[in-house]
Amino acid sequence: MKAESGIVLGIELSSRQGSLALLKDGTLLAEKTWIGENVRHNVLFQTLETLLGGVGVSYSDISLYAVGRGPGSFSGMRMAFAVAQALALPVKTEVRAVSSGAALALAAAREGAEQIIVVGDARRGQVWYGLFNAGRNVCPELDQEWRLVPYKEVAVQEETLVVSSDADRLRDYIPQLTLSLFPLARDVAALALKQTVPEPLEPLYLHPPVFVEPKFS
Amino acid sequence: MILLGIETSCDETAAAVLVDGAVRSNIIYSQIAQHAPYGGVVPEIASRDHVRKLPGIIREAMQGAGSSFEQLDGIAVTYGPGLSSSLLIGYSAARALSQRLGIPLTGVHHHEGHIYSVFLSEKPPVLDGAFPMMVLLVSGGDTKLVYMKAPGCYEIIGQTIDDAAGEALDKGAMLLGLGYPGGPVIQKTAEGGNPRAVRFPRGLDNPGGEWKYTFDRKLCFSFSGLKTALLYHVQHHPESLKDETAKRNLIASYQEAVADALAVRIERALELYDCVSFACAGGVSLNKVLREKLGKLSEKCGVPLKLSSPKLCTDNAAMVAGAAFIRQSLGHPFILPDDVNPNLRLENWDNT
Amino acid sequence: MQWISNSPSDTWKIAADFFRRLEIPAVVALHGDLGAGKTCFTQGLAQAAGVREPVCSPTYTIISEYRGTVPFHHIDLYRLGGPEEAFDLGLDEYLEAGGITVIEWAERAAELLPLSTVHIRLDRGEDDDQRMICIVENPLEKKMKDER
Repeated sequence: MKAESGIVLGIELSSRQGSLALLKDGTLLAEKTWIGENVRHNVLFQTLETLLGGVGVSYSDISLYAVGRGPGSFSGMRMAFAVAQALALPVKTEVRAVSSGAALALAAAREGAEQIIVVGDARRGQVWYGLFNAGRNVCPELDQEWRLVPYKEVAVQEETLVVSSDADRLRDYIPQLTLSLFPLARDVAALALKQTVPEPLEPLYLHPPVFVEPKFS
Repeated sequence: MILLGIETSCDETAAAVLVDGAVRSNIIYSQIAQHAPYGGVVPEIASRDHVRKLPGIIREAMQGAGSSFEQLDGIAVTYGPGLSSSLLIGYSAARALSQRLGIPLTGVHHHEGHIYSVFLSEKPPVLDGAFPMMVLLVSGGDTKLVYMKAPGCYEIIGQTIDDAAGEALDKGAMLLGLGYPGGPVIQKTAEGGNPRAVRFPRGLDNPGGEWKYTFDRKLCFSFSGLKTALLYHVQHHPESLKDETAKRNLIASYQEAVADALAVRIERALELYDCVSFACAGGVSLNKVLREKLGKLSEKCGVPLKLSSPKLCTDNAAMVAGAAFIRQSLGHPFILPDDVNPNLRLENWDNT
Repeated sequence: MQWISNSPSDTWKIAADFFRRLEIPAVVALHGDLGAGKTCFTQGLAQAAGVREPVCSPTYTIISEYRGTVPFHHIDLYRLGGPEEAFDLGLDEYLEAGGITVIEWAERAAELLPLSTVHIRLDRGEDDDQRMICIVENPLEKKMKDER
């Protein structure tokens, strides 16, 4: 079955809010969201059953798994991939990875913005951010690569909407941050269907694992 | 009964298929090379690698066993103890797959996996005549003496009060600049050396001092002093690292101290407890010197020794499915854990 | 506040003395090189807090939980890359969990530590067995300010 004409399950766990969504022929069938306790999204497992049962969809009806690959919480992104790839194993269902940042930009574009900065807290005084060009009926496109910079180095031009799922923590440092949203599984699924260039089937980490011998003075 | 086992508690990504308790496939992807430059497991590297490798490893295990997913009767996964970020990958995959297939999932304690690995082979496990059994559990993260009156009945009678035996080998090897992991490299470089050249402490040797734990002191281990003794020895005798023979003797003596400390405690345990067999399990049970000592002990006291085959000693998923199979075949139901538990304790089956 | 220990059992006594002065809930950050006696101090503190089982090195599990007269958590961040990972492991949960939380290599997650954290520095003394143990001002603060 071709993905475009079947049922898509979107999985998005890269922020504090987790979500699962089912799309049929590109239209939203059902969606569930929850707030994870301390970035743990184990509620996903039960929610998945309720979501499918609620609309009478079985796993074998699903022709595509769409995973939000971040950037965001490491454990959330990893859990999303572990779950999607395991669900896909038995009949080798297709899995596509989608930027959760683009999903967030898509949600922000619904507010009418055309230039969108998606920003997240990387801690230790740093943020990651990406500039998206969007518009009505256009998929948000990342203008430049994601950047990892100190708080004060986020360059915001006029007419640019700044959106984050870490707004509560970042607002104090980035005054232009006005929109607090979480990426949604429905947007992850929708973007997967429109995807022209496949994204790597891996979380988007933005930096390699750090391990430096700790020094103490 | 066809079971899929999944294990990702530390730095091995593993999956295995058991048919009626007999090992049909046992696929292990070891991340050692990635962690070696850092002298130990780096959790972030481990979990990144697990998520990348696990789907392929599961597929390989299924193919290796010639089974299809539809034939599976259940899934067993390690849910603790271990690194939480690593455990989470195996747990999430296992739970998703069990829901996808509509089959039960059970959580397995990592140490239970090691314990029952001594019964596993290409044939179904036979437990008759093995209990009561004394188990010495030795790995990078743990060193414990477990007395088992029956399967699923665990009494911890002694344990390390600081570092694990595997950790002592890792840290010793790091100190001597031998590389990681410590166990294999120490065994290799110690070959031909005189194990009695340097007298290292066996831990808790001096009866003096206060003892505040409920365990019998004679059955407990301490490796932290051994590591410090090595550090001081090298500082006070820098020449012992320059000469090849002296170095070999030093390493052989260090290995001897670890193996001897372990063997002496299990010998004491066998004197104190009524056992018809004893076992040694976990990564360190691969150590040749330790195996020899345990073999001699078995001859001396006439109690048969059980060891796992090498591919079942280090972390693997066959032992996880094996423990689940044995538990289930003795009438104990599957338990679906809500989450992983990095500090999971061994529980008796009757209590769960 | 400063103590001098001449043996592991001295260190235990010092830890017990420290425990009596400690206001619970407490987060205690230990600073010092490998072999400076951090683990020994932690064991003494756990004992004083009523933990009856041995407190082992948490190098491989990062976070170990024990039950004494109060909950006792022993955390070793040595193998972590930074606060992102520490947060991912639920460190902030432990920091708010109550009881006593002892952290080794706390500089890995300096920004997650509460202001009330008690910092202890351990150093090797003149001979092999001697250790200097003192309560110090937060040594991580300056470093964090520089990074901001």
